[in-house]
Amino acid sequence: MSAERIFPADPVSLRDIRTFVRDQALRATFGTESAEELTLAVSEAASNSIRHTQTTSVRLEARLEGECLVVEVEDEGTFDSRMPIPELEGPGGRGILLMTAFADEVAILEGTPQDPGTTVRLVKCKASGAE
Amino acid sequence: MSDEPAESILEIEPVEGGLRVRGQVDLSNVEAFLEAVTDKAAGAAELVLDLGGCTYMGSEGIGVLIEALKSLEGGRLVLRSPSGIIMKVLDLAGLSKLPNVEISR
Repeated sequence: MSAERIFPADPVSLRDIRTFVRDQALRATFGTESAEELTLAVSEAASNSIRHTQTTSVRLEARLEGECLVVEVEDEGTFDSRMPIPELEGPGGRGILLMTAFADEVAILEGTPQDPGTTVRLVKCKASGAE
Repeated sequence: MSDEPAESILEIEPVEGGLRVRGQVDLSNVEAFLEAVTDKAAGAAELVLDLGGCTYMGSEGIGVLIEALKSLEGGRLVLRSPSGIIMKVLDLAGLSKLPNVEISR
């Protein structure tokens, strides 16, 4: 099972992104709690792309690998790997913490100015201890 | 309500001592949420946020709650009826451990 969809890089897309992920998780017979956790992790990744990069679209791909749902969030931006300065930039930086808490596996494949396009790969497994 | 349906998913209305928050808090409406919350929190001894109808809140929403605490200047933030996943987010953010935050399930 796999599904792919491209969303405009606009904050109003986030609700549709969450609906897409939740539907995929429920279709893959994940429990509500696991589905909500994966949805939140993906929403945080997409929110980061929309907020912090110049990307015009966010591409989501979800595929079932055994008992695990793998969701990739891909943008056309470059990943800013410097340390955030909350005192200057306001609240933020909690998104990655939530991703690592709610997904079983988080990988960030960074885009660079030479090769733009950052992919965040989030994996949630049915037998997850978080359930 | 706003003419923009995608944004009307967040409804904030005044209740006794605070606000009732319904819908989803995310990047699309966090500014409005921040404004409503900090307005109510400024100078108040206590701010109640009824989250019973709030179906989504991630890092942006947590940022607003932290700003609310700053505006309360030592006053109490009462969070009512957060859903299971929002409770987990509050725990992860450390908000549930703060002495001036009260959470009632």
